[in-house]
Amino acid sequence: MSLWRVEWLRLVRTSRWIALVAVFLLVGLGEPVLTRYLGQLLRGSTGDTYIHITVTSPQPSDGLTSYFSNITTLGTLVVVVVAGLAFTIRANPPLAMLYLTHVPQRSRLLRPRLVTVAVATAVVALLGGCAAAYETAVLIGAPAAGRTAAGVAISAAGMVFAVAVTFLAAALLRSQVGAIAVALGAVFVVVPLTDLIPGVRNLGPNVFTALPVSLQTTSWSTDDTWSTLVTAGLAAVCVAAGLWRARRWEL
Amino acid sequence: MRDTAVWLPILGVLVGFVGFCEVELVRRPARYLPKLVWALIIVAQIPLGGIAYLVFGRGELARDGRRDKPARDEGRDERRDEAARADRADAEPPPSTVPTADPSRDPVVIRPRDAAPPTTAIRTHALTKVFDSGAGLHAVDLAVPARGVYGLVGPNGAGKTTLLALLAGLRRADSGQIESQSRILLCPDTPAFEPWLTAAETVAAFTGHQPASGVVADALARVGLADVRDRRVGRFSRGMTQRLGLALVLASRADVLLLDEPTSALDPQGRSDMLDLMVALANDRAVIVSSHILADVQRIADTVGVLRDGRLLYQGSVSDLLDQHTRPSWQLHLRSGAPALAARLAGQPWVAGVSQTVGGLRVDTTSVHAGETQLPVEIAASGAELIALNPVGADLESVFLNLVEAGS
Repeated sequence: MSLWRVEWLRLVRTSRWIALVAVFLLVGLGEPVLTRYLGQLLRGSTGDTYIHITVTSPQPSDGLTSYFSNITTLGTLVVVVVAGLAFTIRANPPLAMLYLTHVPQRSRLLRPRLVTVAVATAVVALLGGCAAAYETAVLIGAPAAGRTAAGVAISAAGMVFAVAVTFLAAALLRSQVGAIAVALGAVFVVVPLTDLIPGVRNLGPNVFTALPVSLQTTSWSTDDTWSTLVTAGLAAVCVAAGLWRARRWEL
Repeated sequence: MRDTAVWLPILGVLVGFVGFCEVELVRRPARYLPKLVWALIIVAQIPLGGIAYLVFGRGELARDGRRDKPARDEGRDERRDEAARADRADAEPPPSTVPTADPSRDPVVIRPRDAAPPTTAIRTHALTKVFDSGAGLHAVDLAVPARGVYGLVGPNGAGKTTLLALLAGLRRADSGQIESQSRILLCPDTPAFEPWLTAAETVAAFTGHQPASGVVADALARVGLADVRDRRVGRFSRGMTQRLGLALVLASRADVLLLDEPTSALDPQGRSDMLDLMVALANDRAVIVSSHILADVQRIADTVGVLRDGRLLYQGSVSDLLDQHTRPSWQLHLRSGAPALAARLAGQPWVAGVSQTVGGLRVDTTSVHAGETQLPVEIAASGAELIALNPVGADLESVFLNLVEAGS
């Protein structure tokens, strides 16, 4: 039985796939509904006596914008937790001993974990995007196919970037809680902070992860290309650094 | 129609997800919180409550669907394991208490073994690993024969586990070299496995075989886990887990096996059979056994290494160790004449010591030959009435204590 099969069983038998699918599917199906009925919800909660709320009719892009905005935080949170649980091999030393002695090459040990989690994440991100597009089309109107497809693809790539960051954190730290906390800190704090640095504020992963939203209303720019390349490069660096660090693991 | 198309998928996913979580909660043990609390969280915080339950609160379930206590509550020692096995006796056939004794595979005679081949499986040169506390290993020159059992003994903190970790590649040495062309496997004293894999899948996953293969079945049968091959490892007791670790070793193609306290969680019968198994394994590979149970090491080891404070005090055959570090001793059971014989023996140059015991004397001689040839002569000359004359066997434990005390 190969390690690829083991990783598949890890995903299935620990029910982590259900957690992933549930989040992306529920947000994908729910956000367009919230967008469509936002006006009614606000009017229902405040009443018409003193405050008069005017909500413009939602556009198809609004449904997807709402989905992408929420999945970038909630989805990333769940993805980092699932990835962190899978990548922190050394959190359980006796189990790590088993893996590290029976699978001498660290890259051979870690590759199936990384790829399985990354692919699962990308698939559920695509699934969530499709669900959001479906609900938007039924409820608000058909969104632009090209922008939607690009947004869904970039959203999935952004999740894979979070997986890569978690991979590096797990290679550096033994504990599951520590690795997950550092990865969340990197994704939610460090990456947005790069916006404060002049010269790179439009080129970093923060721009890339916001692309699915911005693409619904604006066109692709040169900065977007750069941010895509920078994000891809950073993800590759995270994976390479994680593998390099893993080769130096000691128990 | 439009409304149905909007709400039906959402409702379906929500109901399906919450229903799945609640069903899982009923079927499985829950972790960290009572089931009722998890049930409320799942319903009150859709979908995060369910996700939190699936990721953190979902306990392991045996493959046959039987509910049981959480793994962390399971037996922490062998007595509890036995009790747990007894409790389960009516629910399912327990694993055989002892590994399958196959006379065609397991040797009857434990020691002595044929002389080990001259080649070495592992050789270290001045292997050094020093921790911040100062403990560790200091210039250890190990030479492990390619076949046979190598017993690694030493007090707590002597560096046994560190040495095994270095040999297995789990730690890096500060200096020194490890020479080995062999494939090395380490089985820790309390091995841990993925709780969601079955026993057969566990062995298969780490040995490259298929779960249904004969190699896996044979390995599980030899350690007495054939009956539970399809049960998830999360429900195993500590003793069963230790057996599974040895099944992994059996199914592997490793040339060198590093076993750290391999019998510490087994009952006496299981321990005895496991020792036989290790000797059988050592017929075609090197087995390095770290153990505190010196009687076990003396029983199975061909070569022994004594560690103390990170230094190798002795390395060589067990018989040489006993010969070099113990004096031949004889127990004389006498009907009469003990005091006279004691006085007579005390003046002999080949007698190292004489002490009175109940019903006779204990005599230490400078050599085995002297005891065998001179002692009967002196007994006859003294007029003492002899009932029995027996050599007293030296044991590894007393030698080990002598060595360690001398080293300190």
